[in-house]
Parts: sequence; structure tokens; C-alpha cells
Amino acid sequence: MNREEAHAAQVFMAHHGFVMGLALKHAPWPGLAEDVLQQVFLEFISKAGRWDLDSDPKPLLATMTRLVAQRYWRERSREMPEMMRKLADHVRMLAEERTAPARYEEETDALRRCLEKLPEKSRSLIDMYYYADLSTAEIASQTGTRADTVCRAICRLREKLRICINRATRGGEAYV
Amino acid sequence: MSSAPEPSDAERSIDEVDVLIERYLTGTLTSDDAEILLKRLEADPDLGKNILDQFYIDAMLKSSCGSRTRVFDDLSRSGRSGEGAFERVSKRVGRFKRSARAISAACFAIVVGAIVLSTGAARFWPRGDRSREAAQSVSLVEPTTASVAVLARSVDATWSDPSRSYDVGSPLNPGGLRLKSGLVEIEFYSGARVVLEGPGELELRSSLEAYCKSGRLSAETPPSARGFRIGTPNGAVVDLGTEFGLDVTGAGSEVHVFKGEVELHADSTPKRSLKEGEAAAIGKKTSVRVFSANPTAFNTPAMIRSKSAAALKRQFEAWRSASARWNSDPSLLARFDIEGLAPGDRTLLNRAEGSPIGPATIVGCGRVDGRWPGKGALEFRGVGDRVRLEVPCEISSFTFAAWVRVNGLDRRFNSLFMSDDFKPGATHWQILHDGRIRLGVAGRNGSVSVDYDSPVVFTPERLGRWVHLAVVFDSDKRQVIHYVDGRTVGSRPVRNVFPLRVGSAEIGNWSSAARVDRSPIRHYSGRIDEFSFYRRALEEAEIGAISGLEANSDDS
Repeated sequence: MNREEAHAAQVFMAHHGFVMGLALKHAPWPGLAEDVLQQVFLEFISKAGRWDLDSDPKPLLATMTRLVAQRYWRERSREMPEMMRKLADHVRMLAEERTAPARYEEETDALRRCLEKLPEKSRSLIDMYYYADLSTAEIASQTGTRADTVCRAICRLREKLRICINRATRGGEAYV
Repeated sequence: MSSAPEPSDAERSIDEVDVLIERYLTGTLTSDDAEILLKRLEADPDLGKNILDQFYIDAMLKSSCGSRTRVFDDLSRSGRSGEGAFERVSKRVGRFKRSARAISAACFAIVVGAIVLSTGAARFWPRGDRSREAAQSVSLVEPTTASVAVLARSVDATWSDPSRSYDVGSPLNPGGLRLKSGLVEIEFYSGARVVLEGPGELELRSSLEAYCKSGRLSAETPPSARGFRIGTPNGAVVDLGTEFGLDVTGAGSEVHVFKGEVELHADSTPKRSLKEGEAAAIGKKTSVRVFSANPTAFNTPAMIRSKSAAALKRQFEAWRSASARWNSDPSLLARFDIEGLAPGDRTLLNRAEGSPIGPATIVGCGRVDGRWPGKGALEFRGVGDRVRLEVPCEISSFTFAAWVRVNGLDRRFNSLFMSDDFKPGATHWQILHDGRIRLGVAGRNGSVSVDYDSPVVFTPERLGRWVHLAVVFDSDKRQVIHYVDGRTVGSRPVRNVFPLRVGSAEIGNWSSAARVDRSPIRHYSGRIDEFSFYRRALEEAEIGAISGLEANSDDS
């Protein structure tokens, strides 16, 4: 990697949260935003010589992210059964309609503070589901409950975290 | 006795939405689910906000916990399927002149490291296996080993403690070996060779020193191991470049010199030398008694080599006998045993009877010896080496099994058996650079791709030894199980079930059909001397049976 590419990588690194936020907005399908992020990264680095890296890269990254997301969305949705595609398009439309700016990085930081405030039982659930990668059925069998109960608990937890993040990013205290 | 109140219709409805959202987030939504969720979304604007909130928080949690997905954790090693995202991404940036691969490693390393620092991801959540693995994978610390010897041969060996048993090729760390019966040959890193007969207890102390608590052994020491010392409860023998035998019992120790000279350091008498043809008995409190050596009372390294060859031949014959039974299993789709290959043969016969899979084509790799002398194997060395085959059927459950001797994990992904490209329903069985074994299944019908990883299997000590690997994808029990040498090493729940399509595939390499100008390099480095593919989930006992013959090759 030459100096130019290394510099481009650092610039991207400083804005990865911005790109991820946009990728989630433009490609709201599980796993797709990560693919978009990677592709934008590679394209950004591959053309490092063309960019003026001393100016604000956000407009450029926003355009690249939108275009890559559109391309990936087309590719992915083409493989989907019709009903799945309709649902995906509907969710995407809802995401595009959202006017709030992408604040992924800021919210990720708030999420960390909110996670720290979670009661032990909720932390344990998040840990099992997101960290240990257990399915809801596996968690249910471990905790002696039903899978849909676990499902519901995880959904409620995410809702609580959303509220906590909103509160924290508005300058309030992060509590759950 | 009281019972929980029945949920109201509204509560049931909420539950149902939660389940649908969860399926949406995990990529397990069916078309019917999608229809229901879409209707609900169209009818309820608040639900739209809810699903997006859930999606964003889920994405952040996945990224932050380093689990399920990916983001920068997987930027460095995988992607959409968890596997190959970089390679897939690289394919797509083929229009750029610069090699994306060349950019990748350094850039990703910088980005991953910096992101961890900048986001505080390392502090984000209690560290678990995944973070440890990730830390290991990027560690700059050079691996080390404490081993001082290697188990070179064994004949009918059984160990007193099954949890501390050793196979041929096992590196041996300082510590005690307790052999119940049989013979083993230990090659010390100094070059000294010791044949231990069971029952016997030998403690390895360094590459130049051992201690025999009981039992009978013989030793050969080349000039490089001059000074090799074996202690006993009654004294020690220091080798001066020779061959000798040692018999340690409760009553005392006997040293027999077959060749050269040894120094005897008996506890009860001053040091003295013992020459070729001489033997000495050392008691706890008695003087040394010298008499004629009896070489025939000991198994020497030359004798164990001969016995080992005979034992290997028996194992080879037993394997040949069992082969006919394995080949007639109606669920067997492919079995390549690498037998009967003439020089220059490029076609591998599929031994599975009645299988729709035809012969495979050898590209690049050459025939070498396998687990036993005379048994065929294929050696994969070059980046182009591979065996190509066509699997013209869909399957729901399957078992892959192979005998492999891995030279090294040179690549990020070291292919075992890979569908070309990674089309919907394809399967990728491979060893990761960090020693984990991965079964990747490409998503289909809207389901996301999923990787099913084992814990780390290939530590440096396992390289260069024959190992039996198997992976079972059981769609009925919804689990993936990884086996090593017939034992379960890890299992994962199956996330999505749909018909699988192996299609065009390769043993030992991977072809990316989407590109013709540049393919990611994922070749396997090592030998394979048997590969089997069943269209059902084999039970543990069956895996044990096909792996049950010892891999006691001493051909290396």
C-alpha cells in the first residue's frame, strides 16, 4: 500500500460511522449494509489518487455509498422471492423517507453507555444473543422459557436501548 | 394451582410482530411471513418506525459485540456470508487497475485497528471467545512451543491415562509419559532416539535429558546428541555416542551397552564408564555389578521400525477390507480414495456405488504416499492444484469427511471442499488461517448466508500429522457438527434450512466463476488421501468408524 492509499484508508476510517449510517439507510436489509461499507471502502481506496483528501470527504462518501447501496440492493433483491422483494422495498422506502441525519457513530457511542446501564439479566440476554451468537431457541432452552418469549424480550430490550440512545444523544443521561 | 392468564388478542398481535421482526433481522423470514409483515407495515405507520429502529439497534449491537455480523471484524476476514466478502468485493472492483488484494491486508489492518481504538469497541463488552480469537488472529506475537521431542512411531501402544495419550507425530512437551503396553519410539529434538516398551514411565525433561521411573527402553544417540542423559531411581546414564538399553525395576536398574560407551553415574558408587558389550546392574545401596550385555532383550529403533511397518501394513489391509462396505452405502455420493493411480493419471475414480457423481479430474497435484506406505494420496502444493468434480443433485443434509495432512495454513481461507463461486445454496468447507474449520452455506430464497465455525483445531502441533476431519449438516436436527479424529469438536445450530446445491466444486481449491482475470488464492497446502461425501447426516458412531483406523504413517 502506498502513502496515498494509506492516507485514504485513514480518511475513510475517520468517517466509517458516517458511511455505515448511510448504508443502513439506503440498504436496510440484514447484512447488506456491511457489504456496502466494504465495497465503498475498496472503491474509495482503489481510486485514492483521484480524491482531494484534504477537503471534506463526506459528500463524496455519501454519493459513493448511495450508488453502491443502490447497486447492491438491485442485485440482492433480484434474488428474492416476490413477496420478500416487496417487503424489502417497502422497508427501504420507509428508511429513505426518514429525514433524520445518519448519526451512527454518535449513536454507537451512546449505545455503549446504555449497555453499561442495563440490568444484569438484560445484559446476559444481549450477551447470549449478540455475543455468544445463540439463537432465540437456544437461549430459550438454556433459560427454561419459550423462544417467542426470548424474541419478545430482545425486541423490548432494543426498544429500551433506542429510547436510551435518543435520550443520551440529546444531552440527557443514558439510563435504561 | 394458578395458571398464567391467557394473553389478549392485542398482546398476541404484538408477540407475532416481534417474532416477524426477529425473523426479518436474522434473515429467516419466509415468504408467508413477509406477506404478513408487509400488510402490518402498510396498515400501521408506527410499526414502520419500530422496524427501522429495531434494524438500526440490531445492526449497532451486531457490530459492537463483534458477533453475528461483521462490519470491521469481518472486513478483515470475511463478509456477507461471513466468508469471502473481501474476495467477493475484490471481484467487483476488478475494473480498477490496482489489485484490491494488495491493498486489502494493510488497509484492513489499519482500519480494523484504528476502528477498535476510535470506537472503543475493545472496551465495549466483556471479552469472549470471539474477541479472543480476533485478538489471536491479529497478534504479532510469534507462536512458541515447549516441546522437546516427537512421537515418531508406535506399535500397539496403549497409554495408562487415555486423556494423556499420543499419536504418531505428536510433539511431546516436558513431562511424564505412561505407556501401558506396546512400543513407542521417541525422537528427541537433539537427535537422540528412545524406544520405550510398555509398561513403562518416562519423564521428558529436555531435548537432552529424560528420566526413566520404570520400564525398559533402548536408546540411540548420534553425535549431535552426545551427552544425552537418562536418569533412573538408582543413578543416571550419560551417553557418549552409542546405543544402549536400560531396564528399570523396583529392584534396581540394568544398563546394557550395545555400541560405543556410556558413563554410569550410580548413586552408590563413583562415576565409571561402561563399554560396548558390557552391562551393569545398579542397586540402591549395592555396588555396581558388571556382566555381559544382552542386546536381544531390548527393542531397538531398528526393530520398532520393522514392527511398525508390519503394523501399518495390517492397518492398510483393514482399511482396504472396510472400503468395500463403505462404498456400498446407498447414501454415499462420492468417495475418492486415491488408490490405483498410475503415474500421469489425471482422473480420480469415484468409488461410491450407484452415485450420480462421476469421476473427478486432477489438476496440478501429484500422487504421493498417504497414511500408510503404498497408500495413495494427493499432494496440494501450488496455487493451481485442485481436484474438480460435478455434483448434479440437491441435498438437504450431508456429511463431508477427509483424511488430511496439513502442511501449513498459508492462506486466509484454505480450501477443503468448495463449491465454485458462492451461489445460492452452495457450500464451502475450509480451514481458516487461525486454525478453525468453517462450513459456509450460501443463503438462498432470501435467507442470509451463514458460517458454521469450529473452535481452533489446527494448532501448530497438529500440522504435518494425519487428521481425520468431518462436518455434518443435519437439516432435521438443525445442527452442524464438526468432528476431528472421530470426536465432536463443536456444533452450531442451523439457522436456515433450504435445498443445498454443491454444483461444480473442487477439493483443495476454489474457483471463482464470476471472474476470469483474477481469482482469490485459497489453495490448500498439504496432502489428502481420502475424501467422502454422503447425502445424509452421519451419526457420531459412524464418523468414529470411518475415522477409527489410526493414521500411523511414518512416511515423512
